[in-house]
Amino acid sequence: MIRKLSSTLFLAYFFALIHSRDLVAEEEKINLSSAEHFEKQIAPLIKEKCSRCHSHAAKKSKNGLMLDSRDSMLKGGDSGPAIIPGDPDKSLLIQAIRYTGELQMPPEGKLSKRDIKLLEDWIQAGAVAPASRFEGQASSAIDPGKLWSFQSVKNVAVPKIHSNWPRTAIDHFILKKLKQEKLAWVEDAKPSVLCRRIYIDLVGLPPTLKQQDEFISAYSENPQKAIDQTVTKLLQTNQFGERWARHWLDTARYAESNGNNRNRVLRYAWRYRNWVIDSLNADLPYDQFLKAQIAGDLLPYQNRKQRNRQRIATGFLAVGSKPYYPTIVPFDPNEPDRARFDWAAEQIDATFKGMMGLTVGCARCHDHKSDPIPTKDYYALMGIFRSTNPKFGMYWDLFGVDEGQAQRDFLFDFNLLVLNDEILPVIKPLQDQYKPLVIEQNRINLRKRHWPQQVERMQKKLKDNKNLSEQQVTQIQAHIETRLKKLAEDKERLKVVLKLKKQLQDSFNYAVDHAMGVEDSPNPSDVHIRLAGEHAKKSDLVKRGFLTKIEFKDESSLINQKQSGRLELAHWIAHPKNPLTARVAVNRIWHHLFGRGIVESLDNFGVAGELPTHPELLDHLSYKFIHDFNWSQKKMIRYLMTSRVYQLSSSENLTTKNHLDRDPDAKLYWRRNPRRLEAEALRDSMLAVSGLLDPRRPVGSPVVDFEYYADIRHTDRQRAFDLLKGNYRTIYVPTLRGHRNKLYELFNYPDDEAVNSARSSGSVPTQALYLLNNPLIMNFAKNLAERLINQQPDDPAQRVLQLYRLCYNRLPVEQELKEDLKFIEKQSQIGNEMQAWSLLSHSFLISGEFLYRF
Amino acid sequence: MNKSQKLNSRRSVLKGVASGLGALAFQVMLTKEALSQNGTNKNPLAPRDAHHKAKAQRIIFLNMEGGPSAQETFNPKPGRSLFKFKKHGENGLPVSECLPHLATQVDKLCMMNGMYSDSAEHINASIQLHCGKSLSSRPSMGSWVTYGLGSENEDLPGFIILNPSTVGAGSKLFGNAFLPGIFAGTAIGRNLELSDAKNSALDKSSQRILLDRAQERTRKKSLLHSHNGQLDALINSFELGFRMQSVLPDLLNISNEPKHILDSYGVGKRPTDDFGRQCLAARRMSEAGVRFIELVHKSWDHHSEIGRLLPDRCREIDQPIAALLKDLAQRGLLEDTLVLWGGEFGRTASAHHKGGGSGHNNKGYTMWMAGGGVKPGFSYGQTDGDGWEAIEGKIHTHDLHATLLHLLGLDHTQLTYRYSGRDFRLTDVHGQVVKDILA
Repeated sequence: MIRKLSSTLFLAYFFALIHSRDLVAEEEKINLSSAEHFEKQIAPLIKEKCSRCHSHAAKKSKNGLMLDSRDSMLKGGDSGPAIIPGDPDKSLLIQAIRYTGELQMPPEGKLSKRDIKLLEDWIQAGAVAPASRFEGQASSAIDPGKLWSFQSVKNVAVPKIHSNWPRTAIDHFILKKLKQEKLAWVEDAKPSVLCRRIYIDLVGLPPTLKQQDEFISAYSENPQKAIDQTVTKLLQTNQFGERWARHWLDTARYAESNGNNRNRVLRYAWRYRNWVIDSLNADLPYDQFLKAQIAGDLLPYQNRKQRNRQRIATGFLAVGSKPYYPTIVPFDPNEPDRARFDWAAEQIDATFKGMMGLTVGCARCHDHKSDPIPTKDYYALMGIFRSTNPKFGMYWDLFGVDEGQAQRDFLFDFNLLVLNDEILPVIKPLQDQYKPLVIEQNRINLRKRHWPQQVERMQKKLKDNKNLSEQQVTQIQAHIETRLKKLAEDKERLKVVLKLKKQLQDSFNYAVDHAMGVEDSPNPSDVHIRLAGEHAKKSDLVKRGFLTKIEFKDESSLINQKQSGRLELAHWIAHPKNPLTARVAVNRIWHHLFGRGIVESLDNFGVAGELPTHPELLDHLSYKFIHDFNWSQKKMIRYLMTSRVYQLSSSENLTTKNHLDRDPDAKLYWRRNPRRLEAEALRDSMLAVSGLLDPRRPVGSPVVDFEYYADIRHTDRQRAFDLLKGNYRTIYVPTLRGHRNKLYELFNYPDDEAVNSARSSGSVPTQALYLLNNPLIMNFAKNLAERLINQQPDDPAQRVLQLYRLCYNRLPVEQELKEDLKFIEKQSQIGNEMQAWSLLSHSFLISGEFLYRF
Repeated sequence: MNKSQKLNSRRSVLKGVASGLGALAFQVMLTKEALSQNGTNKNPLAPRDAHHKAKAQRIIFLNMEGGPSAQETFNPKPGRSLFKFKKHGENGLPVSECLPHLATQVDKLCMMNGMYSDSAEHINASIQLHCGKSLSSRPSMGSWVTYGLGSENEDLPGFIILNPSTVGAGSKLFGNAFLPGIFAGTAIGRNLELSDAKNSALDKSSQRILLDRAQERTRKKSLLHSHNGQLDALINSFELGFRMQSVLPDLLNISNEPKHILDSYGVGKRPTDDFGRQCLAARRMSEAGVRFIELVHKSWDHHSEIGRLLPDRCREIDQPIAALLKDLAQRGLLEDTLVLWGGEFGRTASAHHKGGGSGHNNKGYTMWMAGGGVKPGFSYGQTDGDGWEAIEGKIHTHDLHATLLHLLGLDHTQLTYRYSGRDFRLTDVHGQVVKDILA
């Protein structure tokens, strides 16, 4: 590690030298009266030095003085106003901190000159600050005892209601609220509608004709049993995982390129994706599902296979979008460390938003404005993740190395997990010999690129010889000589380097199985708080730990100091007593089945998030999830889908004025809302009805074949799609950050740079153009038409019936059949029969009844 | 239906267009304003009232990607600039010898010589220039503007970007991020063709027949879901898309322009043809009422070869931009069209580099505006003797955004969108309107 770092620094400086970037970072001229200046400079200072005795946060106002708002400073304490804006000399606060008079503050010691000047200048510029409290309304002011989501999950008694409407306990909770609001519920959905809803929701594909028949006949015998059986059956299929993994991948901000300021492919992200699919299909209990993703590398295992599965699961922490350093000129030697902090911050954000619905990221710079999360807690977590090495396929800190060269040299250690690590003892020494050669070759190349020009310039200088002193001339000559000598040496050395590399390559005959993921760093340690999130501003050292305002005491959560602490964090997050984890999880499952969460803000259960529409129901489900279902997601899904409220109709023929007045959007579930198919379900359904779907899983990912060192270009999105070679399910189409597949781009694929569990589904004209004109859609329509013609060669009416069944899960009414046959007749006369059927098929694929589930 | 019922159902329609977090995501001013102005308005792109009286109705942003040098274009530094400068126009603003055509238009320009921003790295800086904040997913300024004001033309998108970069930040630069998708920039390639606007297999009438067939069934279905409104929104999006696929290509088709106009933009001639076409298309889009138009001109990242490359780039843009300004003025469009020129940062003076190159410089550089509401023939701000750092009249990117929004009649502190539990703005928590440059 140390060796790596030092070589890194050397390289960095070397690079800086070669480019002669003699730019000097200078402090920006600051607007002293800006809110930003106050937040960044003044507030942290006052907080650090004064709040202990003069703030609401500390519940102290010595001598009647509060210093946590502009108003309170103007008002002052027993001795009068603390500040007089524009006049530092007359401001008591300044007199006190200058230690010149009687009043000397803070009592424990005089502030530094810089700090005094900061405060003087700030008052001089008008003492701009929020009028009301700027400090103290955060963590300590918010009573964690009052935030609903921080309360432990209760085993709520099921409301007793005398009605034969409910089919499950869920329905009792729903009915109770509907009765309270005096809202009548609508009828159940028609079986054909319900059948399509179940299939799309569970497997993201419409039911086949045979599946439709089976459902309808079973439903006519016993509706509840038919639903239960169908759901249970579908939960056993691989298609279930391929559908539901995508929901988690949204949460996990999954993508196959880095995005950010170096958009390189993440060649092995696909292993993590497949792990999510497989875990869902195997119904890995949700607590274990989470633990593996946080600390799979530290969990016990029974065999090698399990060990590797768990290591792959830590890909969750590695697939995020990372900034590439250095980003500023000149190169700042603090950057590698700051980069590590930024990567850790990204992992903290994903972990807490993704698993507990908390935006802890705010606390990096200041105590959380609304949630009970102090900055100290944030840096306790930072210590854990800073002690974690993400292995994401690049040495970001090998600045200046020709990455293309490194890539072609397959012997390079790619900063990835090696799954078959039994070969490490064999390949590691080879790699260790190899890496310096790559770096050396690169240095030689850099010199070759830049030095001849420099020599030329120096020679010109000598030739022009404008007032050069003798000494200067000698110096320049010496420079020229050394450089020419080195360049000549380089020429010889390069031959040797290339030969050595070739020898190593020839001796290398091992297949390395790579994966993304994390591992503990060799020296886990605590980190210092950084004031206002600024890396250079170190404050107190914080012991690694978790969120202090969420406490459940029944086992020690002492962190093993020899490890990062992820293992203990994983146990803490997935603990049955953690009040947030289960709630966040069941709320998302509810969202995916009902179109809206009980808590609408899926990833924010803090003060700024939405309140639950049915808090008791949420607790009922969460409790059941942990205790009755043992964290089984499949059981939870089945439980929700067999409720009556899941089965309600979405049509509005029973809508009354009362409904529209009280609950027009049916947030209390008196009816359902239609929902558009997500990008994946949309394409998969089109592939399915047109008979083109290849249900197999492709091997790996097409991006494995990409040059890993090249920035993603716009054309790569099509390249990735084409390289996939086959009509596989859409979850296998690579998603490249910033250059997503057009289908994703248009149909509301979520932002993949951060956790985003909910997708939007707005209709925009560019979607319409895609659906109308894109060759892919045209091809689906054509194939669907061919399918109809082949299956029903002689009977146009039968073709129309089949089209309705395939696309809408129903038969046409007489009028519809007549119109469509007339359409075919007319269009066949204009063009040919095949074209007519293509047009008609196309019209089905882009109609509301296909694009939505009802 | 009484009024409140109508409002409720209207609200649902709007949400249908933009739902996601449903009610939560799409509340805010948009709904309120659309409702208060016109209870029956279904189009989320319908024009909306500004916060205050606007000086400009639309923006044309001429994005010089890569970071053009201020010292070699509009802000000479004696002893540092490689190229010669002369003073032009009534107020004697300096313009480089590389930009002879623009020199004739200098009385229209409002020079901002004290620009600065946070990053000297292309992608960070480009994202900040477009979205206010580097390295996070925020809506582009074009999306914010359309969100705030809607579109003036019901057949066209409100935000169009020509020739966007194919590497780097990608669609982030014109993305809607968390704003509803309708506010995303519509990207059009350098060939001026809208993707999927043409159907190789179907002619217009067949397309219409196809669409009618689909729409009829959707319409029937929508009768049972009218309060929810999503199906109505779907129908509308198809109609708008159908109109757009004729209107937009027509608009981008500059071949019907008279010869003297084509010539003035340098269409059909090297090296002006490419950007000339784009500038002409921008004028046509302004006339048609597109709210935010961005043209991208690439390759301004001149390091050691600035002496050779900068004149080449200037030749490509000089005549087209001059023609655009003249053309807009002649048609009376410049009065309420704001033209913005510049890149994600500027460059250090060549002399700052021992190697004789010119590096990235975000501490002091030049952008200019023209038209809608800014002082013409005016120069504001200055950098130090090397052009290394802005020393007076400093304008941060946040201030630029605040000023652009102000000119469009929008208060940057009021143009907010609630997402993920908090209100977001283009200017984050920063930004001051630069009053000194307002006409």
